[in-house]
Amino acid sequence: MNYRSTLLALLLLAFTATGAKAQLEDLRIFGYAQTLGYYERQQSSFSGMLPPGVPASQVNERTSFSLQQLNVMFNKPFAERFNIFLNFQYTLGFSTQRGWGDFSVEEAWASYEHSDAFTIKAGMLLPTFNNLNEIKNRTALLPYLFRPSVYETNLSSFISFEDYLPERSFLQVNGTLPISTDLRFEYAANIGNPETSYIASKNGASTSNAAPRTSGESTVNFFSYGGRVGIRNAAETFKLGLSGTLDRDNRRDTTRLFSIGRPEIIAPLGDVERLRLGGDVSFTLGNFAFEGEYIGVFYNSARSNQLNKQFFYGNALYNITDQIYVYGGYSYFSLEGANENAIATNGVHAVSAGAGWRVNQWFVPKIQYVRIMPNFEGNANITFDYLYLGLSIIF
Amino acid sequence: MKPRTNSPFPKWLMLAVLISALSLGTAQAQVAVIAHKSVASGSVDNSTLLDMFTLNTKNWGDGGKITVIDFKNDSPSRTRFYAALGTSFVEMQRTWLRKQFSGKAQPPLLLGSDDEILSKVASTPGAIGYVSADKVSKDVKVLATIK
Repeated sequence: MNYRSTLLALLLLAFTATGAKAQLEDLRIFGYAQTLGYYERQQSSFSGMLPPGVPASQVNERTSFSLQQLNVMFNKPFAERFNIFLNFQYTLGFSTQRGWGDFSVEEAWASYEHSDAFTIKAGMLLPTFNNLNEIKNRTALLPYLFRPSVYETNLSSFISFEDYLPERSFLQVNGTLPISTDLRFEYAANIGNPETSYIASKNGASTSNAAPRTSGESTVNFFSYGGRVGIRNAAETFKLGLSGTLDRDNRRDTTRLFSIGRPEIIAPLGDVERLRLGGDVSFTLGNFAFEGEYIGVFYNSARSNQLNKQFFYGNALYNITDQIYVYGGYSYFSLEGANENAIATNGVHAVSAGAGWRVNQWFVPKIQYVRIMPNFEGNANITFDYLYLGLSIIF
Repeated sequence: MKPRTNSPFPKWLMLAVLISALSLGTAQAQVAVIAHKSVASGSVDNSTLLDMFTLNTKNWGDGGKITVIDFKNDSPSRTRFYAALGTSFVEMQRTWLRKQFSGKAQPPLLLGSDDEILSKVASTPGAIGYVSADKVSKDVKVLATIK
């Protein structure tokens, strides 16, 4: 880890030292950070027969600060139609033990833009899927601090994001075509490795690896395919789209499966075909803005009724002035095994409300209240309340 | 008996001055969309301007690269320009940031005055911008006028 940090520091120093010259050559260096301070209150109550030592109700509270996100990006257009983009990302606190919380290369790709109708990108990139996936980590651009649940990295310990969202692609074509004076048709199609559980890790092998592989390589012979089609108006104040991905979910063993999203350990099923379907809509009407998404995840398995899941969210925002806005949102995701597991829930609901102040383009203090409510079928009632104060800085 | 005015100027002259003043006021309020003289396009409509200023269209019809130039500070021209396009500069800034952070485009060059924009557009092949109509010089091409 140390050598990686040193290497990265040297790389950044090199870019900084050559900054003046780089600017002249059209290299752009920019980024953003978002810091958080938050208060969490977990309130739980149980009724009926309780195991020994389990109190009928309890409250846990904690407060913390964290650097939720820091991204440094490098962009260099060259030869008129070519473009290179690098995105280094630091998320949450520092924790090498848990496998997150340090710098990572989030994106690294080159693109060739033949025309508005056809651009090809190659490298490691965030695939276009619905409205939010491609910019989910651009936290400073988002009006809220706590993103809709399956996009929120603060929940990474509890939710297997890849069950709902494609995480990486390596090749994408996309473009825009006019269909009337004001309407544009958008498309994107991409291909990438299967989900990360199929990727060889530097510690040896993934759970599915039969032979030694170079770290980062896929250990299987299938891919993830995906894309989006949609329409928007020229001013981008209205967007509507349909997305889809086709890949396989690694259900060869059960050791990595347990999470809030996968509360039941389901027997090994092998490589299960998985289809994600998404729909997104967003529009602005005067000072009012709305965005919403739906994601349905469908498995080709005899146990698909247990594996299938869905997610949706809606977020409404009102600009009181150009600088000050208020917003409220709702999101829901369903869980695996909800139909058969006695302790499983009917899904997790989250409501939130907040406000932000765009002091200027580069500096936005934000506040948000979030209540997360797992909907238990049994005798348990648990709610999580969060109060976030955050600051987005763009540089 | 009608009161008599003591103005030394004939009525027709005063009327002509008044009309001229009003015309001049209108001209000052107009915004001219300007481009480098090498740009082949003779005119642009609002829809095309939106595609260019949202950075979705990056090339002219002949393949040349579009360089968008805008005002750094608030100005009557900027307000009028974006109002005519049905949006606002603040909204446009959000679009630019989203494009920039997605690696899709680099934000426009922002300059402080009509004269600076005029000069930059005149000296940059493929450039497009807008200035107050009464500032337009022969060094640039006018693609549209927003009243």
